[in-house]
Amino acid sequence: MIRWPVVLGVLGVLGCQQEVLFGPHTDATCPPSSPLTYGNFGQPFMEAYCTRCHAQTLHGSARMGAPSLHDFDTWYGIRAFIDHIDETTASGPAATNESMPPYGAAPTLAERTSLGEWLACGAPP
Amino acid sequence: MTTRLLILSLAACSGGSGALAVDAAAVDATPRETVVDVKLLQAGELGEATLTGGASDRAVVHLTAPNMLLDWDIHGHSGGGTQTLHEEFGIMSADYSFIPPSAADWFLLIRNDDAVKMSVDVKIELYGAMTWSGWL
Repeated sequence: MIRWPVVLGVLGVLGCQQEVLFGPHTDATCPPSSPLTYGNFGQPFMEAYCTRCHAQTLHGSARMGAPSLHDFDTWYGIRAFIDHIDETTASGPAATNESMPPYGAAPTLAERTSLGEWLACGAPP
Repeated sequence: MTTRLLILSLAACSGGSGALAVDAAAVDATPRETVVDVKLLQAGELGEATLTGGASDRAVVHLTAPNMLLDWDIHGHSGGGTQTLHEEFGIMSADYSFIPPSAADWFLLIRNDDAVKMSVDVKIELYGAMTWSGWL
């Protein structure tokens, strides 16, 4: 038998807790011959999975909770948050972080691994 | 001797609440440290610095840009998320007194929203035990 007051109480408590977004650093490394750049990887990755919330053009509720100034529609915007992006979205030897994106189309494991590599290289333009 | 003891006793009494009152006034009146800096930002670039302090500390943030294209916020990362405590967009100057809600690292983030580089005059007055990391 389902005790609905208990279920609702548990859901209420969970709902009040802040979501933990940051996982461990992936420890991804940058191979000397990495071909990944902002143009051929970073920008299309962000446009596919991130800028629907993390964009300078979005304000208020349209950001779906994305914090202010955490915008990934420019190279500088990404460069400022390399560690955060690694700890929420990338994959590497130490971890696969999947808290971002929280909804909608999500990157494959291979794409998350490439993201870790590109960030480990310093997100070259 | 009696007179000397009486004076010492009165001095000791006034050193209690009186000293606290003077200390509180001093904290309000004079920053412990004032950071003055100029941050050069390329078009679209961000700068971030850490303020570390708690509810009994304070930082007064003064920012001045050459035009109304400066964005900035103060945010934290307690509990594994991001909490924005104050934010302003498209401003030329800001004067904001920041009192942290709890002891933690707090992050001052500024962004040049202009299409050309920008120099931002930054003045941070630190009160209590608040510390400033410099730009990350």
